[in-house]
Amino acid sequence: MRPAAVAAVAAGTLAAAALLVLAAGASPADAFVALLRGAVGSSAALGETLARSTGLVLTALGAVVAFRAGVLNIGLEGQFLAGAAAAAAAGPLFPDAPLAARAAVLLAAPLAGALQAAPAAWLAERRQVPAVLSTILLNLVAAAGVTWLVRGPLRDPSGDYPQSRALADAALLPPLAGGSRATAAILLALLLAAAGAFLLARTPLGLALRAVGEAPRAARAAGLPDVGLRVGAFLSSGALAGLAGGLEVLAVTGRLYDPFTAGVGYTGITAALLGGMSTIGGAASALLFAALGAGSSALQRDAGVPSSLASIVPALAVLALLLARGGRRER
Amino acid sequence: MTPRRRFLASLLALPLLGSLPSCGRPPAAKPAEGFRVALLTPGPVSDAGWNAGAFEGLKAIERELGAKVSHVQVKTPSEFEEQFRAYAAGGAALCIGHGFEFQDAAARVAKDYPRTVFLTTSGSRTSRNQAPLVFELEQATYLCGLVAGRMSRTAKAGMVGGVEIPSIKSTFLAFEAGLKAGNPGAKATAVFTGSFEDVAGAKTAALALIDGGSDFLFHNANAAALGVFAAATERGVYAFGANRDQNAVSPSVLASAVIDLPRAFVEAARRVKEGRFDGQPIRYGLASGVVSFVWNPALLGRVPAPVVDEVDRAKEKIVSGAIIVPRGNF
Repeated sequence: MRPAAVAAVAAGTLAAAALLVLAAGASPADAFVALLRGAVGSSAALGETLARSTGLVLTALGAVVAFRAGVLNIGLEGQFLAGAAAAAAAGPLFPDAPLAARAAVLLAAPLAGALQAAPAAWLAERRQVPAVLSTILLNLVAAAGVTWLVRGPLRDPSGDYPQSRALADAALLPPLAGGSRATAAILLALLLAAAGAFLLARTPLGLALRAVGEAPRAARAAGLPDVGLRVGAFLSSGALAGLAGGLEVLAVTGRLYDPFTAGVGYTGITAALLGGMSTIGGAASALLFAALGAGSSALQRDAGVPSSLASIVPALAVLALLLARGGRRER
Repeated sequence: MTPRRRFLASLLALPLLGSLPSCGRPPAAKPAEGFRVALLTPGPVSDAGWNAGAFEGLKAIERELGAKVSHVQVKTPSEFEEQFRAYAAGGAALCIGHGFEFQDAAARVAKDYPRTVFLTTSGSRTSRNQAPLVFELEQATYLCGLVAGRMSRTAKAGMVGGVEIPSIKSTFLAFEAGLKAGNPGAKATAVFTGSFEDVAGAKTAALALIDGGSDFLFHNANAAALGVFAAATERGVYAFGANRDQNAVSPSVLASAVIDLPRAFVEAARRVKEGRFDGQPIRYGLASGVVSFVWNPALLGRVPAPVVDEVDRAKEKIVSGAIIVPRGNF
């Protein structure tokens, strides 16, 4: 795509966003400043962006791992919830041992995510049920499961409100810097993304996964264990999303609520797609989405733009990016 | 374990090391220019109910106390804390979280920002700079139940709730008590749709209740109430408004159990502004005038005079303490 075209797309997006903001009775200049400040304008804002990106980086990585192996795992949202639920169940078992509570969360959450993905993997390999279908349905099951858990077995006995028991404050990950909400969780997510990139690009296992994804028949003819590789990718993808859910509990909320997510699993898939299904691209897009999310929060707070419009503005920005990328590919 | 696997496994231990000394304190709150007030709502302020009332309250604070105000709509607990923190760091004197669910996040942020007061609409958590506003809406929903008990031909009333949370269940408890006071043999059935926004779901639930024989519908479903009213109008049964005066929203609304949120918000904000906030829950019932029972003037002609009188008497008894309206424990 020519620079002129990129500029035209960018200008068009900005103009459309400005018109929407004007229609809501706010000033476009204020809105733009608020969006930038809220995303990267201070150490607190930057911390907010990083805190938001943990779940997105991991679910985007999960999407890349699955999709590159030819597994269309749309169930990251449900696997995220399964991980969060497992974390909320396991963490409070160790009220006096913060390290044990953290270890329990970090073991239980990925395991639960993988287990949540397992039925879809079995259905896909044994019954030829499309993973897209089964994982979407399992998302509904997971969401209903959370609704039930916080009212039933996991409900905090000290209150009547539907939420799980809280982890001990000492078990929650402390902020990396005072006043910010970013914790070591984001470092773990970025390290895993780097490890994932290395694994996919530089190892025989990564090559085998990509081969199964791009040419399943050829891979099988070449003697690769295609079923095992696909199932492995499916379960790892679920484990990554589950870990993301566990870290959300461990780093941010301290317990399970209903509703617990505003679609982080789906946004993770979008981020992976925007990143061209590359590990690093997915992580970068996840950071971008997190920045836009934090920025649109500030858009409401500081520029008085209504919530629904505030979420349209970042969506427009992403559409523009996709348009620019699509254009480039055509050439 | 190969070295590579060992490396990957060791990554998992990373957050265990998270207890690094946290460097520095939260950014100090900016010196506030003027009286800044922030509001967090869990849903859109266009719901003609719970959230709209809060937004009007915020506007009233701006008008009557000359405050600088700001509002955000938030979805997940993570966002609650994010926004509280941003407002407190920006020098807000008062942050209002509009619902029970804001308590945890408020408590976490209140510790770091002692100069900001955090109020949650309903709840129980208190500290030096945090307390709930407690609305005894139950006193008015009891009166709705009383009317339904007296007037229902089928001796059945339906209650449609959004999410099954204590504050909602508590109003149903009071409605049911009022219903039984009006007609000891009457039965109330509750349905929770699981959403405060799902208008179609609320309508389906309401239609099912009407099919089951209910000829009076009470709701506590915020924006989704529009579905309850649509069902009531379609089938020609009566409904009650909740939280706001919804008498004009639909021709099926016989009366509303009202919380005058703007009045309560202004009163509470004035306390904070004048330094009279003491960390105690702030309660509002029928006696304060913040909570009231309002007949729909357009339909009042269809209500038998003895019922109107009885409601007035019950109102006085509630204010005097002769009738204790049941309340959920939350």
